Amino acid sequence: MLNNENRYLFKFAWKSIKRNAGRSFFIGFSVSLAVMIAVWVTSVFDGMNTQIERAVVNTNLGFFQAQEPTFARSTDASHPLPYMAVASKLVESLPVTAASPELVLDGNISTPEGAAGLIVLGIEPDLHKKFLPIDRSIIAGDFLKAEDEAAIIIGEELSKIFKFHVGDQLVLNYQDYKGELRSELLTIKGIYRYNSKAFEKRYVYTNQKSWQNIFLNEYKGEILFNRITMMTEDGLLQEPQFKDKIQKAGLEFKTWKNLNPEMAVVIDFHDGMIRFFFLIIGVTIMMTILTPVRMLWQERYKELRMMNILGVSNHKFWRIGISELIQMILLSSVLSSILLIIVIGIQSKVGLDFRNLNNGISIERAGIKLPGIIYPILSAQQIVITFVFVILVMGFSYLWSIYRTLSKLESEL
Amino acid sequence: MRGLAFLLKFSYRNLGRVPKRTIIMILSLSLGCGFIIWDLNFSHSGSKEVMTEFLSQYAGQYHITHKDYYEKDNKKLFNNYKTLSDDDIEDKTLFEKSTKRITAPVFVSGEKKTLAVLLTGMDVEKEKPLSRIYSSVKVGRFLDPQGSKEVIIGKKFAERIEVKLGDQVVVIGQALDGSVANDLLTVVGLMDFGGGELEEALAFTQFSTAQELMVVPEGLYHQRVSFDFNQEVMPKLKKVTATKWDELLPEIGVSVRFIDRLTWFVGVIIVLVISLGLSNTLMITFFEREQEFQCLNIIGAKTTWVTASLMIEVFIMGTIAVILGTLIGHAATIYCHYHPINLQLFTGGKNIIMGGLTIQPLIRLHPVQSHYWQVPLMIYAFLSLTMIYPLIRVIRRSTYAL
Repeated sequence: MLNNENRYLFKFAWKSIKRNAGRSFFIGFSVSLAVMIAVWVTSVFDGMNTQIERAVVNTNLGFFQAQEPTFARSTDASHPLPYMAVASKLVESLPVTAASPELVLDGNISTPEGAAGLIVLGIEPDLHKKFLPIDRSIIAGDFLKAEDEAAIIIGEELSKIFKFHVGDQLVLNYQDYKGELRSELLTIKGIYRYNSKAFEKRYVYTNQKSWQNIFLNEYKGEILFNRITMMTEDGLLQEPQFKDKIQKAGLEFKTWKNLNPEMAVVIDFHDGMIRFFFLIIGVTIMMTILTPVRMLWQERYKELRMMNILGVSNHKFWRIGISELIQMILLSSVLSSILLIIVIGIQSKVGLDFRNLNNGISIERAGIKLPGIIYPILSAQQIVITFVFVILVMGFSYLWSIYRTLSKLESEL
Repeated sequence: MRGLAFLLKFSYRNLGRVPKRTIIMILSLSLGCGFIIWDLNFSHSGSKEVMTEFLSQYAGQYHITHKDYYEKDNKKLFNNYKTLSDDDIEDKTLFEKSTKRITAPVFVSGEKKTLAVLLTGMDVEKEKPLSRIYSSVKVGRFLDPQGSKEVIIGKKFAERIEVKLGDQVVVIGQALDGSVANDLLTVVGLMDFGGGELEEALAFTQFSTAQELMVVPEGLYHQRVSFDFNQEVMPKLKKVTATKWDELLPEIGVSVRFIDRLTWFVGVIIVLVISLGLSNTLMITFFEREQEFQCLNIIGAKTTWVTASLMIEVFIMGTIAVILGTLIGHAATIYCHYHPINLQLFTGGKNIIMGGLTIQPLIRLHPVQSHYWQVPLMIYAFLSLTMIYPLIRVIRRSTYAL
């Protein structure tokens, strides 16, 4: 590892650090605190962005969608494609955790309580269960089965506004595949409580068989789709792979960011703010640390001069300085990591409550419920950033201070 | 008095003994102070500019409505049967910067689809100088003030119901007299909100067309929307009610409040980091002068006198830094007033979509008076904390020395 000489220099540097233990601690603590706060802010924003992303993809969007081209252009559901023939192999070749082939019909209801536009999703219950936990969010009645006839699942908010109960029939008005205005009676089989009020008011579910019967006037005996919504383990990380394969299959490729641009921009804006914040903290800490480190070395000027007279070369001073720098970096990194693990470890369990920003009321934006409690996320990437940040700040301050002190020494000798 | 003058002179002179170090300390503090003032002005102006840009497009500063028009607990829900007239509003000066609207939740049918939308009947001539909804019409034209039976719809909405300019759409709703409201309207313009959800949720027609469609009696309407953005306090009205934008759009209010509070938080962190470094520097500076303090003790200066001189030294330095920082912050603010900042810097060039509308705000910074005393006060508070530890060490060492 280290030869005898280097080991000695390392020891020497350690003694110098210990000689001014309080001051060294202050320098290390300032850097650690700044880094800890910067990484903490990042992890809070990361947590918030992840929760926003999760909330958006859970509004029936998924991370990715493969859409039938006509539907992608105008949401015209009249040209659904057969799932098994066109897309099942495509889905199998992609790293998805769940995929749901869906038929999408725009309809409306009009009752004495008012009128509302609905999106009627024709789903294959068994596949959809893996995609969204609607089946586990039923608060009254039951979830759909593949063989149900004209049964529908509605959200709690819709049931409240229109005073619907399980077993009631609602009249769905819509235009069928020919564009003809039609009305159909559907029986409410279950009521779910999931995501936001806007979601509960807008989305209703029926099975493929019922959907095809009401829109196409016949059940084709197979699963059809206007879109296939897909969940993944790692979010949008594998976007190029998905894009390539979906487009090669002749389908339109969409990500949740294309489908909910408002929340996509919110996340981009947060990322921009984090970068700005990091830059400011970086400049501040650099300016703040530079002076004490400089003074620390200037204070030792006489000592260095004496050692120089005794025969210690500038080269060796540099090695001592770098040894000291490495030890300070290690100390600061360890300290900031400990602080980070303690603070974020606790907060990732209990969360940070942001609900007081709106008197405790949950906020819905762009069709999603904004997270009220944020759970910060500490990732390996952030730890790496922490270390790089510490190395940069400490490195610049120490190397500059050593250089200035040794320059003075050279000029005076 | 003479003693204090001497103390001031003595402390001031000490600052000049190691000018480079003093300059660096003053600079780091003043740059921090300047940045925080600029940042807070930026955040305040940004929030204001973003909100003005957003609200001036459609929503307005506040809505005057019938007391029961908006539901008490959820302003997203409204009762369309509750109307008001100009006679219900006592203060007629409010009319100058406001415009009346009729709202009609209707279904619009195209060739392939029937979708729900909020159709708003507007007084086109009055609306144009107040709101900027006309600027969102990117294809076709805005409503003709003299015309009727015209409608403008969102680009995405038009794609979904498969209609284009010049096509007619069927509008179906429920009129105020309980009858079925239906009419044929011609699409004259398409609005582009950059993909925001309001592209699918809003449509506009002439006031007279909406009045006829919804069978609204002459002189009545649903909302009087004010675009007076200088009016922060809501007018006191007896018969009707005024609801401010942040109650109507709480999600937007929260987003703005979040950014404002985050900016303050960043400011405090910066001062905290600077203070730690400063404390360290002060400690080293004080220790360097240990012999000098001991000499002062020997010739009769009490430890309290030495401590006071050090405190004055730090406060003189702090005051110079704060004055300089305030000037820097103000200069940067004024510069950014004449060279506004595009918020797209934070989104990688993408448009900002807020509440379903696209906004492209250029943030023109304005100085906010309160920041010019709040920030220095915060810095003085931290500076006082900064001194505590180094001074304790000096006092202890002086005691041992004696």
